[in-house]
Amino acid sequence: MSKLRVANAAPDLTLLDHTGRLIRLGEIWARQPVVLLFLRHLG
Amino acid sequence: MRGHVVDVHREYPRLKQAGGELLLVTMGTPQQAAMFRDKFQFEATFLADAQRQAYRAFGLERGTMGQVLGPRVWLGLLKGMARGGVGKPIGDVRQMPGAFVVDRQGIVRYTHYPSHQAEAPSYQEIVALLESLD
Repeated sequence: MSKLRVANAAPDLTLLDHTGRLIRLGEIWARQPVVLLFLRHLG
Repeated sequence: MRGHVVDVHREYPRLKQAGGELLLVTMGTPQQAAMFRDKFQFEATFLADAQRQAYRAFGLERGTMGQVLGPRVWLGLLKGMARGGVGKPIGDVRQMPGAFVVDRQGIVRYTHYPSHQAEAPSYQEIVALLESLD
């Protein structure tokens, strides 16, 4: 596993959102810049 | 963990005004993410990554015991308890958090790999960066 650096291409993944809908990250950032915040465990 | 959520909840209007779309990635199921989102009355999108594929793809590792249980984490936890309470954990408790800004071309413009679990990203830096992007 390698860390990303500024100027790298971001991994374009598809994930479920909180409504159960599939979301492709690339479709979101094509519209506007994205802030991705990876949380540690919930709770 | 909730301290982080309280922080980003506070910063959300500034991030949005600066043109950023906030996505919060969790290790829960969609249902767990939805419950958490509702509890904090969050408008932003929560993503469910129970298998941690996105965490790995973005280079976020499982922390060492020092990163997970060190004194700075306990201090952060106490602050978080004061602000938002602490509940039963969902997800790998050793998974490290992180933050990224990706521009419209899919290029990483900001990374935050914390040295311990309680270290938050600089929202001031993120907002300034968003304001500089088209």
